[in-house]
Parts: sequence; C-alpha cells; structure tokens
Amino acid sequence: MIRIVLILISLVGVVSNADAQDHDRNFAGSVQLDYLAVPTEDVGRDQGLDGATVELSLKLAVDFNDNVSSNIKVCVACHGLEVGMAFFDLRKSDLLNFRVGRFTPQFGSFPLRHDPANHRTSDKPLPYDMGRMLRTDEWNMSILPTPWVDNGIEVSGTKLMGDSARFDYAAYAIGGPKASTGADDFDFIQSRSRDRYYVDNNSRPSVGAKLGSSFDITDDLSLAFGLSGMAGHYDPDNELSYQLLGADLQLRFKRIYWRSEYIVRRTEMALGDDPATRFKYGPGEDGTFDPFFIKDGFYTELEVPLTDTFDVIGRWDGMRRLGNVVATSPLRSKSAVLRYTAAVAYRLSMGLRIKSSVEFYDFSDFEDEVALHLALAGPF
Amino acid sequence: MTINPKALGALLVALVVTCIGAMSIGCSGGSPGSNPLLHGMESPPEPVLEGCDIAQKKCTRCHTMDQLLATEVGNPEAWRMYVHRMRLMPGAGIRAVEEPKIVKCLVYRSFGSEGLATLEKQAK
Repeated sequence: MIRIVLILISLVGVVSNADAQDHDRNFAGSVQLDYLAVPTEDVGRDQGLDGATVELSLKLAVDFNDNVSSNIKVCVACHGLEVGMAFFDLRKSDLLNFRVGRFTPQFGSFPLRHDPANHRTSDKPLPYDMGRMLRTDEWNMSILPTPWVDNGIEVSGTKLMGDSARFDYAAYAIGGPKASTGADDFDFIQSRSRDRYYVDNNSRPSVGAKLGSSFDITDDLSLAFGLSGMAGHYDPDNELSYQLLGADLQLRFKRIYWRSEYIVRRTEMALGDDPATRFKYGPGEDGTFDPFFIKDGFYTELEVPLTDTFDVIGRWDGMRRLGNVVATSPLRSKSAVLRYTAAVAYRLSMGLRIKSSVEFYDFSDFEDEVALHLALAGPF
Repeated sequence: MTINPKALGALLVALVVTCIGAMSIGCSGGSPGSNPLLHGMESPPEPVLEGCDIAQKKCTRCHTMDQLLATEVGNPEAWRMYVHRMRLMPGAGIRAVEEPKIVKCLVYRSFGSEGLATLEKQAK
C-alpha cells in the first residue's frame, strides 16, 4: 500500500513537472488524537474501540489549469494506512464535470465534512459512524461508514437559478460494498482488505446519485437540502441487493449551523438452506422468511460558535434495525439506539483545537452507557 | 423505546449550553472584526471585506475556519484555481459571482495588495 501511495504521488509530480513548472501543488493535512473513555464499564474495549486513536490525513492537490486537477489523500486511522483519494477532476463546464479514480461518492451532507478537522465533534453521527460507536460489532457498524471510499467515476454539475439559488447534481458508478457468498449484511473489512484486492467483487458496479439545492434567503440566512440514493449488489454472485436513500437539510443563521440527515438502507440477506436454524426468529404468518432487513438512522445537530475560538455543539442521533437477525446476534428483530451528545471545541492556537464531548447511549438491547471524548485536532 | 431520564438531563444540558451560545452570538453580532480571516489585516479594502464575509459564510459549510486559515498556496493564481475547484464541488453552495470575491479575500490575506495587483494583471 505504501508503495502504491508513493507511486501515485510520484506520478502526480511527474505529470505536473512535465507540463509546466508553475503548477500549484497544495499540500494539506489534518491530525486528530482522540481518547474515548467509557466510565460506565470496567473494560470499555468490550463495548467498542475505546482508548486513544489517531486519525491522520495527508493530501496533495494539483491544479493543472481551470479544467483539470488531481487529488491524492492518504489516511491513517484504526485500520492503518489507506488511500482516501486518488482521482482526476476533468471540468468541461459548470454543468459537466468528471471525477475518475478513487474517491468518496456524493451521498448525504456529512461525508463532505468527514475529516476530523472539518467537524467539531470527535466522532461522527451514528448513521455514518466508522467504528467509534459503542456496540459497533453487535450493530455491524453504521448504515454507511464514512468516508466511504471506492473506485469509480462520478459526473456532477451545478446550475444557478436566479440570484440566490443553486442546483447541484451528481451521479456515479463505483465498485460498491462487499461480502461473501451467503452473507446477511455488508462485510466492511472486505472493502479495505488487500487480501480481497481493491476491486469490485462481483463485476457489476453500484450506482448512485445526489440532487441538492441551496438558497441564500438573506445575507445571514441560508438553506440547503439534498436527496441521495445508491443501489447495487454486494455479494460475489450478484444475488443480494441493497438500496440506500438519504435526505439532508442544513440551515445557517449567521455563524450558527443546524444540520439534520436521515438515511435508510434495505439489505437483502441470504436465507440459506435452513433458515429456521440460521435465523433467530421464525417465518412470518405466510410461512416464509423475509429475505431482507431495514437499517435507518438520523442525526440533528446544532453548532454554535460562542466566540472566534469557542464552539458548543448539541447533537441527537440514532439508529434502528428492523428485520430478522442471525441466531447468534444479540440484536432483536426491532433494535434501536439513541445517543445524546453535548460537545465543546476550543481553539488553542492557529490550527490546534481541543474537542470534548459527553455522549449518552440509550440502547434497546443493552445497558445504557456513557462515553467521554477528549481530543486534540487541527489542520495544517 | 422510552427515553431515559438521564438522557433527558444530558439533552437539557446540551440545549442550555447551545441557547447561551445563541444568545451570545446574537449580542456580539457579525461585525467585520469578528471574522478570523481579517485578523491581522490593517484597513483592508472594501472588496476584501466583502469577500471575506462571503468566505466565512460559504466555506464553513464544509470546512472549519481553522482549515481555511491553515491553507497556504504559492501564488495568487493558485488561489483563483483553488476557489474555482471548490465552487464546482456539489454542495458547495457558492455562486459564480461570489467566486472572484472570495478569491480577493484569500489573495489579500496571503499576498497583500501586491497579490491583488498581480491577480488583476493576470485577468487582463
């Protein structure tokens, strides 16, 4: 993986040098060191990935001209070194842009802010959580762990409507989520396992799109909303389908942001030869087993800067899973988790910020828990 | 699911803190001096003030102000291409007319009046 990153970075360097010497290379990055404590448990590791974690990202952006640019980003987190971006942007006009390579496809609003330097809390909203929520194993993480990085192509564009409105679209084809034959949910480890290679596992891409719009109602008040969708198959045999839908809403008043999102995933499960043994619950009234489950979630969050250096954040988020579960799962056919978060972020100096938050988890199937985060984060 | 009283307590604390924050912002207003992009600048020209006001409102939709303050480029033209690239990102919310205004803010911040002059010369 390291060799691939070095080769990619070298390639960008070669391309940019070959064309002209004055191409601007913008190097940026961010670091977050977060400590997660679970004071309601003697051993927090049983509940999730507690303790200290470091999230590092290093990004190189090259603007060849107004119409062509390239981005490469490497990240280090719980899962080790990963390439989060390696793509070319080819811009024909405001209405027609192409992104080709490895990138995070347009879905929802939070993925745009997934970098720890771009959001005020230490962790992500539950629907987008990537391993930091409590009971992450039991829930098989979130609905769409973010950043969802994949290989593919994306077409996007923007169109102004009047003086104060803007319409955006994006459509893409990517490799999509993965799992083994006969799966009952996504296997997120396969998406970042070099043993399975970083390629599509079933020769058919997943496709998706996002439509969004933003309005400047006054100088101080703006509104943005969007609708997202993604669909495809996730098993090698192309038998298990999934569909993702999302809606996002964002309101800004002066420097205060209110953000909300809802996303839902319908995922087909393989019933196997003996579903009565494989699953925890028996068939429905019609004598058949439902071959799918629904997982949905939301967050609503208020971000208020008290001063230039001090922000407070209140967030309420949750997730729900409806449908049969495998016999070994601790979840039930209707499981839910709600989380209440109060957070502060204080800027110590340019580019260095302390983040702290208290989270209360209200589980339907487990004891309620409290989690504490203390982080140092910043861009450079 | 019934909501646990402890959860309600946590939510209440969060709401109280955010309400205090909202009131604080309401009192302090949005004067130019409160824009971190303008810190350290002495009497910036009016187009720069306008551009920095737009940048503060639009760029913070996806980035924190810290990210904006930390970004450095090599020359004024680089800022122009950088902001152009950002404007075309789906969900950016930046209108075409706002792009050159934001560029002026960022160029002035990085390179001062000479940077603005260079930018205008290249535009011609």
